[in-house]
Amino acid sequence: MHSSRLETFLARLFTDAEFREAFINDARQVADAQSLDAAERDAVLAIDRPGLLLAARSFAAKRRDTGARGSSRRLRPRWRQLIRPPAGPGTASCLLQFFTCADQRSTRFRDVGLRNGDSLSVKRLIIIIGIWFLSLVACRSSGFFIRAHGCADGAALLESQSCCEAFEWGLRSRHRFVRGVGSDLSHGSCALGARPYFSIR
Amino acid sequence: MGPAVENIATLMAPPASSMDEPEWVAAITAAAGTPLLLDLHNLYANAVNFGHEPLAYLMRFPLQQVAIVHISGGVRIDGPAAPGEPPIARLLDDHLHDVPDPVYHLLEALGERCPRLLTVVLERDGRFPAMGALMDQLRRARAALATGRARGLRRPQRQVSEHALLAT
Repeated sequence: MHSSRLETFLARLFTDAEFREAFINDARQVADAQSLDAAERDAVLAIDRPGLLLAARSFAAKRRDTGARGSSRRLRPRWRQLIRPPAGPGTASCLLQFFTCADQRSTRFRDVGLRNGDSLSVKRLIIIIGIWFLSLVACRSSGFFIRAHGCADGAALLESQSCCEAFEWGLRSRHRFVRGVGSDLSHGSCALGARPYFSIR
Repeated sequence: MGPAVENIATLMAPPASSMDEPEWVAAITAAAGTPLLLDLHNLYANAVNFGHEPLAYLMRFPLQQVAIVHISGGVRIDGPAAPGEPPIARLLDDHLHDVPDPVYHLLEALGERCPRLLTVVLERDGRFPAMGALMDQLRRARAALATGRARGLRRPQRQVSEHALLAT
């Protein structure tokens, strides 16, 4: 049982606080005013009201959270804007984010997926490669990645698949890297494969 | 692998429903011909919130279709209280807390019954613990899956073992 009328009614119930309050106070009157058929009207009158209020609160919190994240992006430090191409140019940018944001390596995981049609200037590319190379040397010497992956016994902490490709390339040349299933893993996760996504021999 | 359908967590019983969640998920995956991304904490939260026994609830899902598994944590939140009664609590899947024990038990049961290779993803969106704590959760997940797989190997109807595939 669904209709555009019912879906519109439910969407408004989830997102419009005044409308929701009116419904909680007098559900019958509000439902009668919505041109619902008898079955739909009965369904909305039997709605899970505690669940409705909790769900509406959760949706509102998610909307606030999304808004806050958007404003923080606008306040990105100038130096990072200089070296990070604004349109997100693919693998190189992913590497840059991965290797320049210390918090991401340890505790924060962020979706840095590719976007089509982006381009890199030569200057930015040189800076990115330089930072990436220095970061890779530093991380390799500290053993951070090796230790993190090794402790997981085949599990992987992934920023994005494109980020891992360079890391994989580096270690595969030393015959220490095995790639398993899990190409669907693309962002923001600690990944654990029945066959490992990446593992260190 | 193409796109997969994921089961969601909900704080309210979906109004005007003519199917329950397992029936709906089975119908959707069958009609779309897609694998199922089974979020075990979503499943657990829905079972707890709407009075189902989690393991029995899991068994009603199309487990042969599961290819990817999500695990995560959540928190109990209080809803409004009727006069003179305690508030109604619901489990919110917030990805901000550690994976609870029942989710590992569900993963074990899934490993026993699911014929496909599984990729298990630990979801965490904030309040990050130390790296070691995350690794511990991954280890527990692997152990639960391995236990379930081992139990499944003893089931006579099981034809393809994950370990056999791993060895190839």
